[in-house]
Amino acid sequence: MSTHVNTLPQVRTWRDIQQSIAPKAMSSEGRKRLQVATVKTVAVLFSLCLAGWGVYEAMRTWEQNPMAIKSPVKSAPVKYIDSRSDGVLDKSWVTRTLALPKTAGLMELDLYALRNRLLESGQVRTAVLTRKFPETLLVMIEERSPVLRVRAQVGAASAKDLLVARDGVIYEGVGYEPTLIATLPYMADVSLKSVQGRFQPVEGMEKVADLLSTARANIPALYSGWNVVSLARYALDGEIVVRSKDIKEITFGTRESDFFKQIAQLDLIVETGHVQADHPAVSINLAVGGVQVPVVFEKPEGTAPGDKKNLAPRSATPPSTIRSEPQRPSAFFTNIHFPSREF
Amino acid sequence: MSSRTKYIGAVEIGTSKVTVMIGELSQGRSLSIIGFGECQSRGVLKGAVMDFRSASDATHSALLAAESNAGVRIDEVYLAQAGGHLDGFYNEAAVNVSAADNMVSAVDIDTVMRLAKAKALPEGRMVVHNIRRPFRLDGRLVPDPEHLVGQRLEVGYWTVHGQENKIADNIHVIRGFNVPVAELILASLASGTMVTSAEDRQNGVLVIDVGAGTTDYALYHDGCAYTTGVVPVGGSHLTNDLSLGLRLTEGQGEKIKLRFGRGTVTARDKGEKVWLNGDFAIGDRQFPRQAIEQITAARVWEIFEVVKKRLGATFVPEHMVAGVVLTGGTSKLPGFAEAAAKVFGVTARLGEAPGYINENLRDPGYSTALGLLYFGLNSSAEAVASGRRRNSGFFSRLFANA
Repeated sequence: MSTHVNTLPQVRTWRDIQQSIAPKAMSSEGRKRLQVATVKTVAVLFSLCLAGWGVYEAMRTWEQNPMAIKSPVKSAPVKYIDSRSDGVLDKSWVTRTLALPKTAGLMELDLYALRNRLLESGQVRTAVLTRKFPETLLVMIEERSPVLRVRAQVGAASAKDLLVARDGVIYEGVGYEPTLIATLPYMADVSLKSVQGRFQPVEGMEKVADLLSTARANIPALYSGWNVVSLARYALDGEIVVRSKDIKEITFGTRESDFFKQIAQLDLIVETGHVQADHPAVSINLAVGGVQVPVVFEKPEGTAPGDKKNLAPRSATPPSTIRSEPQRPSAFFTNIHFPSREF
Repeated sequence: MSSRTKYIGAVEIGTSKVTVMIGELSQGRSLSIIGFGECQSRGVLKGAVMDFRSASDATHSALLAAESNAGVRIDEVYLAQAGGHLDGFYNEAAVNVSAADNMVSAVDIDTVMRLAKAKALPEGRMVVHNIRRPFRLDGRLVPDPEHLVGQRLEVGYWTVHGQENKIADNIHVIRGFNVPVAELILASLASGTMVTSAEDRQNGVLVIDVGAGTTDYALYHDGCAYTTGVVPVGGSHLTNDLSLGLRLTEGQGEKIKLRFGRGTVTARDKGEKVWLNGDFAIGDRQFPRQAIEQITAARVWEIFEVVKKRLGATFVPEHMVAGVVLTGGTSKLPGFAEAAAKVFGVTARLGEAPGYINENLRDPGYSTALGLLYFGLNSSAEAVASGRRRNSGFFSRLFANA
């Protein structure tokens, strides 16, 4: 059957008629359409050829002279650097740090490398560099704010004060007022790690920064006496120890992250007279939590160890608030009752 | 093609007028008629192009008018094919089902279809349509025999063929406008599809499209076209008869035909006269109404008789449940359906376009163009349904007219 089918006569249908027609046989409108179609065809072919040639030229140039592709526009040298910052860094620092050659063209600049150069300082958190034609480089900077300072020594150089930002980045502060720097407590009891001459960021600085900012905002007088912030017990016990001018050791807990409450307790203890000049407190531990705050007073001169009479503060709160035996020598617990007081 | 809007043109190059309609095919699923152009035909006689330049000018004028009306350019054309040169024959073939379990396979179907279509044509003739009739599996009619069990599979085709040069002339008139011809469709099939319902075609119906130069007919049964044909006699012959019989010019004859012509004679009073123009101007004359009606009715009767004779045994009045449906410009003559009913012995009516067609386009003279658009919609929908990839991309469109 298949052989029979294959030998069937070929029947011509109307589709076998050639539809092409000579332009002479066309009407004027038909010829017009043909011309438009021809022009479109030629235009497309030309565009394709042009695109192909462009790709070929680009590839050839890339292989032979890549710089020609990188700087296709021969722009004028950079004349102006427009610097905008939300901090203290000024245009001169930016210009100095970027250190652009005088003849550097705007299009030849490697903005990525320049940005890295700015970020290397540590003080710059983000930097955006934009070409502003014809001859201006726009630099927009966001800076880190210092929360602590730290005295550190790198290699054989002499020790110097560095600043610690909220995100733990340690950097050399530039452009800050010395009075502002003087108000920052020192960070202590932290082992700094150095990689290729740069200190690695200190972990957990967000909580320390929260504590300091809460203290600065609510108890500025007490905060001004804070000299050192020790992080010796921070990693293990979650405690931040502050050494101040008036109180040798104030311990803050970070478990609950409620620094506001701890600051309020500290302020109340100091204000209600538990701590006096002639009978200074050695230690206040706010990390215990709850309403009980262990306060350790300095032992008066001439008292023997175990002399309970001499341990009682002279201007203590009513006896009812004093608990029985202190758990540690020269220490007692105080019930703190918060008055309705706004900080 | 389905992913964009396509503008298809339906072109009917008739003896008296050229009709162009533009349809907007959206996603290959819906069609809106957005443009229409019509022009008096020139250089066309009995549906065939006699003067290429005149026919081209007339057709291109209609195409331009339609494009101007639609505000778009036609992407492709569905062209109606008429003319006295068209003829048809029936050929059928049968194969024994090849599978051992007697289940009909796609190969069996393909083989029998190829056999049925393979009949050599005389020199200079080419196929316009191969219209398949339903399959017969062991004598029973089946729409799709695949996977059915039987022993002998038969199928028949009604093949419509025409003179190659006349078909080519028709196509080249359109190509002269630099638009491709997507499909060539028999005029009677186009108009028949438009004025009959699927139910009519299933029950049996004869569609007669009486144009100016030709009368096309298509006989439907079992949902498909069984027979088609073209009689090279039409409305212009009525005009000619009136001109000769009443000694009028062709224009006057046309005017009298349109005003007083009828398909049947109703005037009983021989003395009843009608005016040629009715304006009492010099040259205005009177003619007996009965004579006019007798002349036109005789020719109408003759047309139907010729059609009936051509159909021969194929036309069985008992099988024509839906009767005779008349369309075409000449069918607007009063008494036309009555004459058809008398000749064929079945009910006859004037075909009407579906209700969703605009009132201005529901004239019987436009049924062929409307049918062409319908074919365009169907072929696009089939292409979408079968996922057939067609030349639809940007480059195809770009080079389409080149």
